[in-house]
Amino acid sequence: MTTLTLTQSSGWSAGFRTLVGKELASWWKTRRWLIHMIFWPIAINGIVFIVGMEMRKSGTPERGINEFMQIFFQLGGVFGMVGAIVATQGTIVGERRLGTAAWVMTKPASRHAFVLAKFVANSVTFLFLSVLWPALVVLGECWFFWHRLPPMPSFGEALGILAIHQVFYLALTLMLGTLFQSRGPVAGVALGFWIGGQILMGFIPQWMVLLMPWPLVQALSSVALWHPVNFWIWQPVAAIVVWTVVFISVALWRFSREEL
Amino acid sequence: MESDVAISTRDLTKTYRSVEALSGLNLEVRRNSIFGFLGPNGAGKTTTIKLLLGLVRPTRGNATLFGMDLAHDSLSIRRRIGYLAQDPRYYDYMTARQTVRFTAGFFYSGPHREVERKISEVLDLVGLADKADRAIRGFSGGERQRLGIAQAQINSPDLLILDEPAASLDPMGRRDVLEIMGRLRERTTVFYSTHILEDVQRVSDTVAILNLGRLVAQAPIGELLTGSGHTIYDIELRGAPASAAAELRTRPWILAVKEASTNGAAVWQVTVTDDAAAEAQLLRAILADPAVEVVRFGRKRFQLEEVFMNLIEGAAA
Repeated sequence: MTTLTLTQSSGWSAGFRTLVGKELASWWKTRRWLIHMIFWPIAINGIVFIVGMEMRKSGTPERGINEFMQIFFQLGGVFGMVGAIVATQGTIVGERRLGTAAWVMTKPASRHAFVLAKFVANSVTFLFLSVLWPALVVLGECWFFWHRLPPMPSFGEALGILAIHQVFYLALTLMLGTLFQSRGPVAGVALGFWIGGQILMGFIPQWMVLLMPWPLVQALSSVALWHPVNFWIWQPVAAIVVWTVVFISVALWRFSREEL
Repeated sequence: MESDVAISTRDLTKTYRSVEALSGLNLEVRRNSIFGFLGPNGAGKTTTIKLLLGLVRPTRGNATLFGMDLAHDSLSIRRRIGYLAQDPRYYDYMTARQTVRFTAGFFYSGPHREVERKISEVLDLVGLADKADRAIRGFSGGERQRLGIAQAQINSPDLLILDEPAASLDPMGRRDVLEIMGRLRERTTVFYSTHILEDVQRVSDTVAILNLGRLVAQAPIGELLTGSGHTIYDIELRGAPASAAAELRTRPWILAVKEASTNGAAVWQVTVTDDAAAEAQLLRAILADPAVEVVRFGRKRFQLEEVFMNLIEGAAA
């Protein structure tokens, strides 16, 4: 008779695979994926489509693609950021309040695995649904209206930066979820960070602005169209990668001390 | 060889801000026992369980489970434990089978068919086989509790920790849960907290009583129910027992004769100081009086409720 094979993982990775599977299932084995799959094209590509309908009468393909990229990356950046916060705000707070986090932590799973599984699964899924999927649709729209596509290497580059931008807000919200006890402050602080940034950008020194994600959204359409992009853009990109690592580290530290 | 002790705590203490939820707990739970952990609400039962599961850190003291230190071997300990929370919450979008499958993922990596067989086995054990593929969103309290036992059993744990397993259940649900516990005792140690004394008396073999964060008693249930100090005999008589009572009071080994009457019969509680003398002479001494007839005679067996109330009130006084 075949016997059951016991799991061998230990240390931080104990339970990671199972927890990632559970997180992915919360997207893909419920209707959540379908809602996002419908929402993002409506929110981002719907506006691109309306503009396309207007422009096809008088616009040139160059102007049209240019306009499409501006709308896509501006809306994608802002809506995506809000979406990342909304989708992640309850992921840790909710489990702590409901008691499922305590239940899971009675199984042989590490607390690091619990947080990292949420980060990995939510990032991958959210990027697929809010970045990659609308990007494919916008390419379709470019082809439909103008019979041409934006330069793919630079479009891919801009998409990558947009993805890093969204992951930054996912990590920030996840970290806030380990620091606060309810959803309100989690969403409030994360959104406040973005709104505050839009106001502060005009008042604080340039070098500080370049350590934040705030200027990125404005610059993405230029990156996508391969307009001469100043080297400065890589500074906030590098900074938010570092910030993301810091946020996740804080989340791991805080959750490992949490009394459930 | 592993020790015979499943749980051992030494001076285990937990303080929340200035409130001492648990104070210097020294507990020993033998393997394969059904250990009832009793106490009124707020006694520190759930805090103790959370400490044993590593969900909260002790302020002072330590605990070992199967000889492993809780502070350093938490993962290894959790591999050998099954846990059912007081108010079990699961992911509502999952079915019962998916919930147990999710739990199984922490313990088994395959083969797939064997894991599925194990999942079906535990669902069957708790009587959820026919509801296994229903979303747990619509489960009743009793069904959630059964699911809780199923998921706690998936790793065939050496120790099952149940926090108030029958508290929210109707009498049928309670009976079912106690039956399941009885079935599990052959293969596992069951440590469960409760304030339903009737259940404890039915299934436990050892009991600890906690009050205001302090342990007030720990003993095998038989010992606890026999009482401590002097032996008391419980005797029911018919006839005119007044002279027999007076005669008994002259004996040096009789401390007290407490008389009462129920439905026309006299009921005595005779407290003795010498067990051997009582065993040899007490019944004879009563029967020597031709005016009385003995209907019932035996050592008084306390109800757990009496013991519990005495201990709790004693601790409070």
